[in-house]
Amino acid sequence: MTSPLGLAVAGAVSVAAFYVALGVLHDAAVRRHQRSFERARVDLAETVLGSEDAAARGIATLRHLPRRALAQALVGLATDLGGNARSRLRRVADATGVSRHIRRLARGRWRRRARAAQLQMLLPDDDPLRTALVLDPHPVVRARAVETLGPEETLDAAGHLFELLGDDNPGVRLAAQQALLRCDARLIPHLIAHMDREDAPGALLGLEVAANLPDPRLEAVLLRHADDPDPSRRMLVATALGSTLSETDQTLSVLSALLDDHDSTVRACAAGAIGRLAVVELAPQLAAKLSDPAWVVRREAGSSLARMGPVGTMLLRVHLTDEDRFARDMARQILDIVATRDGSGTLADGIILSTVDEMPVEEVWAS
Amino acid sequence: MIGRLLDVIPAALAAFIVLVLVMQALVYLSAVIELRRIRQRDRHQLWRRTLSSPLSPRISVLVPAYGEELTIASNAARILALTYPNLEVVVINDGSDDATLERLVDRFQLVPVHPVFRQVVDTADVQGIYRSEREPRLVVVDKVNGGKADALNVGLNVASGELVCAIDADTLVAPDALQQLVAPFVSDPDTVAAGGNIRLANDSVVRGGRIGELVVPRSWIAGVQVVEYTRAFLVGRLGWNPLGGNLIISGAFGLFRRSVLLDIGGYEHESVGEDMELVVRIRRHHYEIGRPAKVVFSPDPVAWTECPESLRTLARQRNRWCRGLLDVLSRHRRMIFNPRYGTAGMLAMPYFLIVEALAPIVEALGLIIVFVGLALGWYELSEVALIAAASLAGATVSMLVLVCDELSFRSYSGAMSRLRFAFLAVVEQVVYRPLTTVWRLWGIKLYLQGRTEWGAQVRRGFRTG
Repeated sequence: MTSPLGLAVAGAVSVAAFYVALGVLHDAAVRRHQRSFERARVDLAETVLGSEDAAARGIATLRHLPRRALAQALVGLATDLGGNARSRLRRVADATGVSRHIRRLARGRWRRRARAAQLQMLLPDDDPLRTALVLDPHPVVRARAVETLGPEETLDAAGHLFELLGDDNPGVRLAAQQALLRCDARLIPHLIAHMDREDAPGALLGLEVAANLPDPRLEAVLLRHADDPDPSRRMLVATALGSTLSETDQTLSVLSALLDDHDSTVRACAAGAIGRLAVVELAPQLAAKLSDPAWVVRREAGSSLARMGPVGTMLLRVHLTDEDRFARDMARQILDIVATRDGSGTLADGIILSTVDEMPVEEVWAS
Repeated sequence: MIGRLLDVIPAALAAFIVLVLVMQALVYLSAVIELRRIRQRDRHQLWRRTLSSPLSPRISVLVPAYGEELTIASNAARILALTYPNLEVVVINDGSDDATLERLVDRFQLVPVHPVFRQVVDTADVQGIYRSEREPRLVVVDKVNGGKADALNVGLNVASGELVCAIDADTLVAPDALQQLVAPFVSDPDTVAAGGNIRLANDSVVRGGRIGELVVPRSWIAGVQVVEYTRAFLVGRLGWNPLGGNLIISGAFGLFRRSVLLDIGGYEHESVGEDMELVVRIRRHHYEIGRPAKVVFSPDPVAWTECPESLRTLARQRNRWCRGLLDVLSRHRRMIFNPRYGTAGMLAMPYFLIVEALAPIVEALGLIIVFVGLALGWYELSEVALIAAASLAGATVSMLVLVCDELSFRSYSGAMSRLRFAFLAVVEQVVYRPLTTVWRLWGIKLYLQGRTEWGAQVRRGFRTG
């Protein structure tokens, strides 16, 4: 068996045996964990939803379950529960040693801290460890900690989350934005306070959050950012103003000014916002944008006119005989879409918003 | 003269084999390190919550379809059922001569809309664009036949997403695969392309648009391909991640930054291996303009496809892959051993040239010499046993890859499944590998003759339960 062939056979057989044995052990471990997890879930549900006596008995039983399965079941339930039920879950976590386990994890290296961040919802609301995890030096831990915050906890930690909008790591920034969005209208006062700050970190991302929260209370703060030198911010201001559904004179005059912005994406967003607000007074200005050098502005202007109903349609018809061939073409295309639009009256936004970059007029001639 | 040749050829072959082994060892080592890093990292479970945000980048899934009347409607519905929140599905009917378009119209109540889009990449004529009355995320494009690359280019023109995902119509994608595939783009703005792990699911049952239980295929031809795919994806692609030399994103499931694809003029019509050609062109373009471009392979996101189960179809597929590789190496030969192109030029392209393109010639030559030498008495049987030992060593490496797969992903369950795979790893080396050598030699011959056709694909379709 010392020949090369013999050695190769021995090697192959050993590795094959190891592979099969490992797989069998793996299967058994998974089955065992699954059983423990299922039991933990049932016991936990009874503990959390039952009487105080049942809870005491449940805690005694849960202590004997493997901690990994118990923690997994606790997190699964904690995500869906709030109020008293969650408080009782935290009591269970405390009594079964899971809270202690989280604190131990939080003292470890970043991978262990990331695990602690996933479980941190089982700690009391005022536990300083929660804030520490949100501000952890490692981006993965920060992102995980932010992700696990519920809406109430996010509001409590709103100050930190707004700071994270200026984080170096794009993943953390997205997690913070998403957590803020989960708060819905309750976030508006905090958002206004943040955007009022001169040195607000991640102001652009704050505007993005605002653009996704349709609320008229944001109008004033958005108007203050309308003359920002950064075109991306002006673009978001235009979009956000369109979603506030507020038609004050000030908003209309800002949108009208943004419609003549030197940046095509800002003009396109302003055209889209006017369409969403369906401001008929600005329809002639929109119609003039059918001759805009940027394709995307012409498309937004056309589709916004289509959203305005009979007035917009009439203006589009007028432009069927426009001297400008691009305006003529866009008017014709939009009217075709209007003719084939579905019963709900929505337009084919996917196609309309196909591109946002500026191109010379000659190169954008498509059909 | 012959005697001198007999002295030189084994030495040259040995030198070549050593070079191949060194290069492969580098990639394997790199793959093991990367796999360990990924295993230690948490599994991004909670990332899914963030990446399910409406703020996530918009993804347009491009589904080219030709002659797929039997499966296209259910395949489109499966893709629409993905859990990614900011999704658009663009199905491109590439001039099918069957009822592909009609099936889509019936299933999704499509209505024609004016074909308005910016034609950034030149393509064959678009005959119509359809939107669904029931499913606003679906766009169907009907176009004149122009091939898969042309269909994808139409998709690029019409798509509205910041990212585009090319998926073959018959590929089954895990419901949350896009959330995971988009993660590299979110965490690193330099990422221009990301590829997912493709698994084979012949004989596995599909329930509700997902694989119920993954089983070992009954056919040995499909079985050995499972071993081959596992090794190719887990080592061949993952290993290039830390080295920065990824050159292939599978055409069956890959995510790209749309602006980058438009910048380089979209997919190449004339190439047989358009998926590799695209990635090489992206990398070449970025090296030439001096901008960073990361191409990432993500081992977690899984898409399933079925592989050929007949030797004839498999032979056609492999000779096409071989022609595709040679075509890419020839088109971008300037990159090979050119330091201007970084790791891609100095490491990845030479690897593909030496290990993938030249290997069949050397393997065939070696085998011929050994067997002729054995017949003529130049070599003794004990010396030939070295070849068998080398084959078994290859099988052992495949089994080690299966162990890594077990530790990381646990794709299959049951002792019998693993026993079969261990056996198939040996069959792959002893029976299947010589066959692929022949098919690749055939591909080299056809490439030198200038043959660029694809050949018919025969697919059975997933079992449903």
